Amino acid sequence: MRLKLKIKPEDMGDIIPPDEVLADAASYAMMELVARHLSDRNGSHANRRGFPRSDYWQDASESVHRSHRGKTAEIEIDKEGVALHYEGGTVLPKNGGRALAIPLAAEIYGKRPSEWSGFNRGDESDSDDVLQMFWPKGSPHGFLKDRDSSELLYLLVPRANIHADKTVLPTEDEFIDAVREAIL
Amino acid sequence: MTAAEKILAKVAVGSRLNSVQWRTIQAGLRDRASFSAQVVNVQVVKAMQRAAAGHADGALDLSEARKQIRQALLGEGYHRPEGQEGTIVDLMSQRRLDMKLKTDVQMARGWARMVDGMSPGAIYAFPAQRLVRVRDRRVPRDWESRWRLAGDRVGWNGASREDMTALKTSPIWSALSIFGNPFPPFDFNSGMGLRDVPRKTAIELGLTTREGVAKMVEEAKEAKPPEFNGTLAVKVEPDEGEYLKDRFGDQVNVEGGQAKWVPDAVPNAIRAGNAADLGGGLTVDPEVVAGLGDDILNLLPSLCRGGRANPILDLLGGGVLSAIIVGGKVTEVRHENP
Repeated sequence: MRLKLKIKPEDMGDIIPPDEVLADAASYAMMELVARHLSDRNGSHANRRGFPRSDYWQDASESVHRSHRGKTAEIEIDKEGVALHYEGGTVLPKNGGRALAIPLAAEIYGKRPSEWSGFNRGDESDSDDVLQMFWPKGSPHGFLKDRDSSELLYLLVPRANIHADKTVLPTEDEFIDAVREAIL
Repeated sequence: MTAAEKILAKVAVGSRLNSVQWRTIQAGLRDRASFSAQVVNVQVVKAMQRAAAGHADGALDLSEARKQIRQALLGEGYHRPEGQEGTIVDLMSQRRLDMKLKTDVQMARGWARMVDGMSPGAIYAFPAQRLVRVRDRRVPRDWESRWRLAGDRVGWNGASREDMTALKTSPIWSALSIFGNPFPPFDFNSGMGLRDVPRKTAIELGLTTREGVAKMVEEAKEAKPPEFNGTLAVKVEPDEGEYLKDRFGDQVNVEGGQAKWVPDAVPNAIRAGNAADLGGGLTVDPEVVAGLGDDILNLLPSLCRGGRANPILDLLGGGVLSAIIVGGKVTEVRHENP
């Protein structure tokens, strides 16, 4: 999911200048502000479960780009999930799956259950012989555990609600300040 | 051009070169190639290229991108190296795939940001940039020493000695990179990136003046928009050209002191009846070849020359391996003594 911002001159009052170079400077400054904001967010948002950093927000910062120049600043963030964090929403399992899998151990963070299958380990068969599902009767949650050690590896939930977080992007005042500094 | 488009514009090149050997290929040519250390099979390289582009575009997360590459590897009959599963030499390992995908995507994004940052308006607002840590590392490298070494090498042209900051046009950026690129990443898994530095700060640091910025803007206006094309030729010295031909065969064209990558060299060579040039004594019926797709044709040399055939030929004491193709699939490989 991508996030695309379209900032037109009328949104910015009269601060976008008619001069081509200054208009270019203004749109670049907005793009730079978004990238810097996301990079700072990466530094201040440690993983809540204490897992190793995935540097998700730094990746998002590096994915920021302008797709158009001129008087309309169009900025895109090509990072999956950023729009969901900004707008909020409900995440449901993909491809008709029964549940979402949330990793419970640091070493498997960023690894999907499907990557444990024989297929992904390079075996000839597509057997899924490493993980075992455990779903207590009547419980809204289930687990995937290691078949051998019985260690719980994933929490299974039918859906996840993500609250909208407008701090994902800089504020309007920050955009205006960035543009002013760039062109004055 | 977006990062994803940049990745897809490269020419997929198969080679036995390891990452250190790849660094001996000049940056201009290396940056136009999509490759992975010691991966000969072009189909696998192409699958990696597609997955990296999908990840750069935000369409695939790392897990999905890894899955696509693993499927391609299995489709090409890849077997994990015994006793080295999970290590960097194992093409299916998460470690290897993440390194490949992250480096490719970061490099393409670094290039795209550099190009955008050289527009007249971007230069006016931010004529300089600073090297900063953007990802934590358990054992961080000493980038201040590297900065001093790179600065000495380029005579501190447009670069600050006190602060790891330099004009965007300074040669220090290429000197800093083990890849020879003026954009991040500057090393594998380095955790270092760039921050734009505003005009006011660049002037305060003594890197430029108001007049200097105006001159840079004028130069940026005059500059041709950088284009990226995987088959663009670069200048090479005669011995460099010989080295390239020796390492890449028909995948590189060296002519008149210039070298360029040749896309789909392998299928084209087979179709043109030059299969013998591909080495390994590849023998394929031309009538059969006419009906085959690039994916199958790309597979043949790796079967007969590269990946799996070499050890087989070594065991057999040389000879000729020929592929039997039924319905567009290699069903049997035959061996004949010379």
